[in-house]
Amino acid sequence: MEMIKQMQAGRSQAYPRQRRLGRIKQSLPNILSIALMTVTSVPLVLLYVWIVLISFSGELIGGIFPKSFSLQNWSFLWSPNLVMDGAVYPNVWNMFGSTLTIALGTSVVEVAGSLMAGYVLSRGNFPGSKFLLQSTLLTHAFPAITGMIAAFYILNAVGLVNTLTGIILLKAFAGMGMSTWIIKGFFDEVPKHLEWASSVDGSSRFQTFIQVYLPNVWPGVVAISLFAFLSGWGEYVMVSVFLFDDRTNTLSMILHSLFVEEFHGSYGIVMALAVFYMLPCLILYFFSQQALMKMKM
Amino acid sequence: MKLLNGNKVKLAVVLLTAVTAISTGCGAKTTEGNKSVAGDNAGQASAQTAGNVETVELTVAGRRPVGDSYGMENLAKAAEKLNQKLEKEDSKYRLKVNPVLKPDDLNQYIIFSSKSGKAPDIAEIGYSNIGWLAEGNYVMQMDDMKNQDVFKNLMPGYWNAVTWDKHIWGVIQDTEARMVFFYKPHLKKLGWTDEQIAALPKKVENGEFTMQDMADVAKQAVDQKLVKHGFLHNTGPRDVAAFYVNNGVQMYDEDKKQYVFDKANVVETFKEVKQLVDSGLLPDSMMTYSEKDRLKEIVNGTALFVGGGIWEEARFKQNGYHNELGNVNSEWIQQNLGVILLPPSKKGGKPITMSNPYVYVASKTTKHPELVKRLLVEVSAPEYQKNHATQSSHIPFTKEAQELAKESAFLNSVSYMTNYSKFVPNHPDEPKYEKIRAEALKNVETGTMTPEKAAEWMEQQMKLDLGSIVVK
Amino acid sequence: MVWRKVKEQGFNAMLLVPFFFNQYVLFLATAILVILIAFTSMDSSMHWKFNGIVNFRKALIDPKIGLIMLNTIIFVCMTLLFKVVWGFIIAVTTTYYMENKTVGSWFRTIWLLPRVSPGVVEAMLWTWIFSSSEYGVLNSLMHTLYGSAPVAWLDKYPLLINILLAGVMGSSLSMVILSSAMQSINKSYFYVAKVDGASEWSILRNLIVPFLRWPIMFLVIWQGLALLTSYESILLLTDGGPNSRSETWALYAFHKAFSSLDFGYGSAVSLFILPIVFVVIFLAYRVFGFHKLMNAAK
Repeated sequence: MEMIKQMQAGRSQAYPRQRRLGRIKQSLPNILSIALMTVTSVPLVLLYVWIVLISFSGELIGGIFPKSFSLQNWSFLWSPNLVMDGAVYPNVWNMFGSTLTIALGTSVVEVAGSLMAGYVLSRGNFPGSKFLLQSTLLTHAFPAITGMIAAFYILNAVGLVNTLTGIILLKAFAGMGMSTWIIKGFFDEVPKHLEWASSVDGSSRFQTFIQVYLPNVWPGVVAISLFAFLSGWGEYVMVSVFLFDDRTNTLSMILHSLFVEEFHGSYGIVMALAVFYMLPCLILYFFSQQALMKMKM
Repeated sequence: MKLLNGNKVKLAVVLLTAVTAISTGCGAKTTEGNKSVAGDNAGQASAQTAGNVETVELTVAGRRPVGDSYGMENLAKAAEKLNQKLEKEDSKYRLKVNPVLKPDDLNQYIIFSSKSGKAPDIAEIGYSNIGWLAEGNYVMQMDDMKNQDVFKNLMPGYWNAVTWDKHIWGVIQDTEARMVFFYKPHLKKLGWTDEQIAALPKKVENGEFTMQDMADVAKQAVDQKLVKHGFLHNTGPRDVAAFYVNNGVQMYDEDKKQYVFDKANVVETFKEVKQLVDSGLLPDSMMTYSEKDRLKEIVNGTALFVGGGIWEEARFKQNGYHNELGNVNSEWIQQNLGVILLPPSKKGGKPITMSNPYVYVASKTTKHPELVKRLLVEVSAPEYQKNHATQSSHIPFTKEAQELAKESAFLNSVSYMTNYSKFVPNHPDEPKYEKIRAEALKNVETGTMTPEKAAEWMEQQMKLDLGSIVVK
Repeated sequence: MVWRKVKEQGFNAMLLVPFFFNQYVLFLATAILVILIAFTSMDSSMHWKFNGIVNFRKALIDPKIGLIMLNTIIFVCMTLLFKVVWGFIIAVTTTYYMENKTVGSWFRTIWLLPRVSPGVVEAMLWTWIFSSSEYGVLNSLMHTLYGSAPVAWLDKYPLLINILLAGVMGSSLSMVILSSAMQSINKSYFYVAKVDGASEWSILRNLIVPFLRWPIMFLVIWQGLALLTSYESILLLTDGGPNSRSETWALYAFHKAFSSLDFGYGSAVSLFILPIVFVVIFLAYRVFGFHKLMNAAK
């Protein structure tokens, strides 16, 4: 360290002009990076801000610029039915309920399953554990569509077609391989001596798990919970194929059919619904993004 | 440990509460959740008993009532009427109709719900699906419907629409006609007199005004910058069948029960369409044009001739397509829009209209087949037909109901069109064939293929998807 | 002691049940069913009629297959390139070049947004941006700036726009993984390199890239396989159109099965992806030493 300082000091004395140039040159990557990121991020942010603005505006100038403030588009939140251009759709809170059930259910089942598997695969040294982990690649790569046809027969065999439970199980198992992989990485980084210390204390394995491991793998749990939640919350294809009932419509289904049916006149309502649908994701995300950034594969 | 910084504690609290909330909720869900989701009144008919009276809840799948269909409304009203009769008969049953509205994926819904024992008791669907519905054992046979009084004066030929393999599998809900709207003020600007305009539908009927004549008039309007587009057509696979039929394409061999590839006429069809695109009358992206934009163009006069269906008239009144007026009324429509059949391709030929009547079918597994059939008879009564027809601009299918609907001037002016009705086959493979039909045309319009190439493609695809076909 | 071991293994086994069930029971059942269905003529009537290899032969002479194969290759390669390169750029600029770390993390937060919003919303936004009507975002912009007439973007560049959508949505994951890998590089390496007078370019090429080699390799293989089999974003944005110009293999299988209701043929089409998957996994294992990555990275 001392040497470096001396070297820098020596240089700056000897070449004052170069030093200034050097500093500019040094901060050039910084400036360029910020410039590049700003140029690319601003349109992205604007887009999201825009749909929020449109959802709160009564009129649009030229069909795109928000004019006056109005809560009219959001009235589906307190009216019994969602009404668009005279078409009556079910209550949004029911759809919100179904969507939330799928998202929460998926993340609980998926996280529980992958926590247990990740723990064992990381700690328990038994024959075949490597192969077991590597096989996730194969299941991951199995074409999702093919799964859909078979999934119908499997769900039907256990009587879970047209149930939220069926969707939850399908989603949770589909994501389990990847989640297990992620969480195993976190378990691997827990120092072994912590477990020894704990077992010397006489704690049971379950207690050790809760006291020693869970706090250490917590960012991983947050990350996979969030991903599981998001995948359940955003699911469209499975839901549209396997749920028949109007009462179990999800927000993804309703939003899709609204924008497919092209209600130009009620753009604001579609945007409001999109914001409403996105909001829980954004809230969860802002709570968990720090943990997310720690995620490794 | 690092864990204890502010943000993480917040996060931990949030997640923990969430997890507890779910895990408590989850235990309950498996029992209670199943009931409410897959439960009793979803899918199959269910019954609630109160005293001696048992209320049978029927699930009915159909179209959303946005101007297009009052079938659901009619079924609910008919159920009430039937309940009065049942009460008089001292029957212990009462009916209640639970609608399930599935606009796009009705076929998929019927298949999967039937296979999992949760089929809707009644479904409202296009007649061309009858073949696969019957073949797949999804729907109930109703040959005895033919003897019911309400159907005595059914329009001739319409039993064919619900017949497959010599049996009847459903009842008709309505009929309609697909035709061409034209914007009268533009014809006047082109120098047409009121008399000439009024005589146009007749000229089409007599085969004096052909596709070529229509193209010529459209060309004038485009050249004089009166309109952006000379001609737009509707784009559904059953709509575009009109061009094929108009050029004499034989699609289906009734005796062999096989699809036909009628090469010479198919090429003619494609040439006709290509001509329209090449002369700048028809946009090459027609097949991906949104329905709304197409309808706006006719109401606002940015296109001269626009293909559509008679039900479009109801939409003009309800969906606010006009740029200044929003909704337009019957008088406005009468004054500004004219209606002709799709002109024949050859001079002296007969014009055509494609008909795609909607039908009610009943699930084979319904627990109350008799009640379902009685409800279908009830809903076919003239007054319900008229309710649906006048509100959504469709044509009733029996004489009695057509009399009732005469109060609508518009329906009156187009009812003659059903004399020229043509139907696409209702063979079980129709869902596959109709996709080929539409796609081949799209390939021509977008310029991806020449007419000959597209015909070749169509033949190949038909052989691939439909198995054995007759090549003519 | 022995008893304890048995008990412990029993406990382990119990914890593995859900994972094991997924990997073997559920997966095997799915695979077997799909393979069986691929040998039937199952369609809308859902009859199990075995018809031999008719479906597979049909897939090979299907007139659309050439275009679809080309689309799939372009879609997978370009999207993958976009995902990894753009994720890399965000990761390196925000964690290394930017001097203010808070600013860097703000940009990363922004770039996670597309990953967080549901697919349907994302597709809706993109439809709105590229809408052919004059009210579309891009068309309005072009009109205000250059007075140009509306363009049907999604008809003109369907595949390209799909690549952009999948790329933007997918770059978030690359960014997360690559930036956490960046952050775990010991800072003293950079110091030493700079003292040695290494240029920024050579630091990037000789220090950062080799460090990120494994995570990048992982991303390429994992996301590449995912792209090969995914279809949801295309389904929602252009539905494969116009004229199959954005139809990919997996989407075609979906369309055949769930929109033409030709389940047998759809299954057979989808099975054609499997050999490619096997080859990729095999290459990953043998050539790239993927197993080393999986075991050693931890």
